[in-house]
Amino acid sequence: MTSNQAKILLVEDEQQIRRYLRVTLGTNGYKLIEAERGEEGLAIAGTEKPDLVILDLGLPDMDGLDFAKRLREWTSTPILVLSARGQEEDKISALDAGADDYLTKPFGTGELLARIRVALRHADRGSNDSTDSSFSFGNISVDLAKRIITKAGEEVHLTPIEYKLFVILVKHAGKVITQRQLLREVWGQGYSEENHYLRVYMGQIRHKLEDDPARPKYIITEPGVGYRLRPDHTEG
Amino acid sequence: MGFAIGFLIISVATLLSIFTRQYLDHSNTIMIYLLCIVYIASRFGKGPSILASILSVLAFDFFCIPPHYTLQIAGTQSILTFLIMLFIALLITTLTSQVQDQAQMARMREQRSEALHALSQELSLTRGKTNLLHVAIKHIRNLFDAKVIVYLPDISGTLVACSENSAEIQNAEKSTHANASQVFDTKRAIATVVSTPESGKMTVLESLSLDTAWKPSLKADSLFLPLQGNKETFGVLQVTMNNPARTLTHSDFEFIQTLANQTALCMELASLTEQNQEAQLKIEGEQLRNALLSSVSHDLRTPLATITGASSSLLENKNTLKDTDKEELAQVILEESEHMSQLVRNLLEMTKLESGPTNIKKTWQNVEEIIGSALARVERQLGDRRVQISLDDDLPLLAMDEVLMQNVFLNLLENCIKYTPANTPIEIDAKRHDSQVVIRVMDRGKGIRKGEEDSIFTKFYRSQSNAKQQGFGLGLAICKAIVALHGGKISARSRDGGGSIFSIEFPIDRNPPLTEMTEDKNAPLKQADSALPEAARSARIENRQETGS
Repeated sequence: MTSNQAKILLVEDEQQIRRYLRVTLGTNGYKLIEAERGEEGLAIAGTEKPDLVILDLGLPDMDGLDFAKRLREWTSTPILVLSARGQEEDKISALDAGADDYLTKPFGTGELLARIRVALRHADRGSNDSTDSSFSFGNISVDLAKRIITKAGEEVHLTPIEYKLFVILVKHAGKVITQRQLLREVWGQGYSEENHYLRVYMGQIRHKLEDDPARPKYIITEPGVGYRLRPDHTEG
Repeated sequence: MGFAIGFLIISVATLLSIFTRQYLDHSNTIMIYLLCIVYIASRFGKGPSILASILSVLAFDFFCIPPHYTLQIAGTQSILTFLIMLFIALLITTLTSQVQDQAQMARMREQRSEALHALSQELSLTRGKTNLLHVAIKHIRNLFDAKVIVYLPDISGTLVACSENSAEIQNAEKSTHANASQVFDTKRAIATVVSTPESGKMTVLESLSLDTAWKPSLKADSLFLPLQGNKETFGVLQVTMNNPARTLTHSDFEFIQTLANQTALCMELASLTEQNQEAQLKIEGEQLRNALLSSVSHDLRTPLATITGASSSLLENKNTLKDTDKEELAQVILEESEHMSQLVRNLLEMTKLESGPTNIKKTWQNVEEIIGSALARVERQLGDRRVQISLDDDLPLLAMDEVLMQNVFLNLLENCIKYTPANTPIEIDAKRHDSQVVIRVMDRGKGIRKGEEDSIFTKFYRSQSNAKQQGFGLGLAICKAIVALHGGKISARSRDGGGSIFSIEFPIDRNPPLTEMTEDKNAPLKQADSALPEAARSARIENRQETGS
């Protein structure tokens, strides 16, 4: 899949951003289909069956949220949302509506390509329905089957909740996970607003795994949205 | 009452004169009577005094002038005596009662001027139109024992009754409302006379526009007066006597009019002051906009010029440029656009913060995490610069808006990066004091010039020592506004050994939720395998508190 003939649908009304992405994604070996409007985008998605949709949240004819919902009715094609800073609420609702990840404008090419790669990889893996049982980044390695986490060869002890949180991040490595998603998965439905649990446990995980917890390399906070495990530090 | 006492006094005087008539001359007896009349006139007014005058002449004739015990008059001289006596008695009566009236008038005038003075004084100490009205209503109500209602026009111009007593408004009938409207439109007062409310129902018998003279016979039950300033009519004042037996006279009307005018003038003054303040704010806004425009035009033009130059060079010289040159130009474009993006971000942030009550969303935050995510955003600008972070272990979670507070640290860090040499370190520390957390961002730059510790937090302010630097001078103003929204304080000062310290005092205003882990920290993962859901449940914290605000 990452052999780079992936088909990407770009739904964006700003002509200059389309120009920039056309060149950039083309150079990187992706096939780009463009749509200016939401309705047009949905129609093209139906006929072209893209591997990934890049969706601008500020479409003139349609709420980005509605677009994500309607697309999700019949396909699980990953959606990467483009939005301005300060639209945290919109991002969260787009993610809740089924979008996979987001990028804040202005964004750099490196960041964009990294997000695309992650989204395609997860989509690919989803269809195979298998997760590698071992995983490593930096000096940290995780063995999900044996439930062993080591840092620089030393085993790190996580409490059950810390472990559960960490595993969710690992399984979605590279992708943003909203605070609500984490709270629901670890603590249950009733806890989706109790974000202080997250603050405390994430802090503890960082202190156990990061070299400098105040400047984390792997467990990244997305302010106002959630968390992301960044396995490849150079990508950001 | 007065008549009875008058009769009694004259009777006593008559008895006295009967006993003394053989010793006293007639003229002296007359003097006794006159003295009594003066007393009666001064004490009991005109009516009793006239009665006493006539009685005394008759008694004098009957008892003192021979032939005694008959009204028969002997001789023309006696007739003259009686006539003169009656004339003088009536004269005394008239003069005395005039003096009495004048004294009473003077007393009333004094009372009223005192009342007016009291009202003026209280009005002068009162701010705001509504408060002014309340003062006036209170005074008039107390002075006249009357029900006072004020009608004010609402936005659409319809008059609405206002009173401190809502029951009074309820009772305001349609007819009174119509009167009020008429007064408001014509700016002329109206007096109404109602039938005695024995039947329990007040009906308006008469309603007179007072643009013509007040008929002396008119005793009004209600008055409607315009609250008339020099330029503006603010509303209508209704005064209705509480006691139906009492009515309002012309002088009452004049007095109430004076009070109403006084109130209206004060209201006019208040509204002029308000307008002035608004105008002042507008001017300040205008000045701010101008400062902003000149800042924008200068500070955005410079990076734009660089970007235009560098990119056109890339296009036009693509064959002659070496790869390293191309890279250099692309680098310049990237840096300058990042710079512009930072300027625009601050501009938007400031506008948002100033556009009224910001939607601040407080949730529990970890200081370390917020600092970390701010640092991540300036990672590229930091380059190899050393950042030393030392945070107390016992820092509590703080209730703050994640995105806004991250911007505070972002701005402080960008400020350090911009104004200090690239090889100098940045230090961040956070300590818990009793009821607050103090977070400090410190650099080793030039420090802060004396006297600029406060002004650097002002919008568009740029330190004298950094006059050439680009930027709107908004970053620190934004920090101050955001920290203030959280009830905190931000300050800056120079640091011993060179550099500056920016310190944020953040109140711990609520107890952070209990986050003690009931989970067994040493439980090995492998054994917790099947116990994960339980562990998750056991981590429920008993003393849950609301998050957010």
